[in-house]
Amino acid sequence: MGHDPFVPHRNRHDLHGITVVVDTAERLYVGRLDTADDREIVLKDVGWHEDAGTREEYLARTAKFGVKRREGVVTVPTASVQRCVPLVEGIQ
Amino acid sequence: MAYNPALVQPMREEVTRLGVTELTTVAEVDAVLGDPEGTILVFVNSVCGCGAGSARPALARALQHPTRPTRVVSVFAGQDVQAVARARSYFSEYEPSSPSMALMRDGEVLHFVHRHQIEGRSPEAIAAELTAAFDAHCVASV
Repeated sequence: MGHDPFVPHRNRHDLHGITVVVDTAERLYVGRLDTADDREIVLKDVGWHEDAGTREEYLARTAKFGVKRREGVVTVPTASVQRCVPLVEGIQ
Repeated sequence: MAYNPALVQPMREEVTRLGVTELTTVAEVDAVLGDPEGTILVFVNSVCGCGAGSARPALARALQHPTRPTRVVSVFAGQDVQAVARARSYFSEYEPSSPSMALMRDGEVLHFVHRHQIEGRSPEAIAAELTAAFDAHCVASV
């Protein structure tokens, strides 16, 4: 029996590898979604809003200049997530 | 950790066969970006299938457009680390991402396409964004 062909990111979440906005009451994160299930969302190369400006201003700046990386990996409890959408949708 | 060069080589060739000049050293980057005459598109190539799988075909499609940058160069993220860092120093106001593309003139970024603007989009959609930027900032070839 032959090997299966290599397919990158097979059996991953639909948003795996996509830069997403994860909104919680405490903090708004932007990062590449690695895994997500009903327990937790794991993001990579993560930035978050903690500036004087609003979350919307942070997202607009991030959309234009990119994600200012603050942590390599951040795990967010799924129960705390108010929305998880691609960044390109999160700024609309 | 860098990928096996043999794995990466087809991804390099997918770009260089379009006539794109690949820059693999700091000196090569400085020779091009340090002489910012005309419009330059810098393509930051990448292994990542989520983005680069669309970015390279998008670049190929965009370069068929009659209005194009004077020069098109590439650097390969995760492979030619020093060359990529040097290239990014020329558009340092933008956070590093790969794949990505910077259209520049006279050392100024005219248009930037981040990885997050590539992910999940079709090559046609990305190429349309690129060619719109070419039309806005470049001169049609005759």
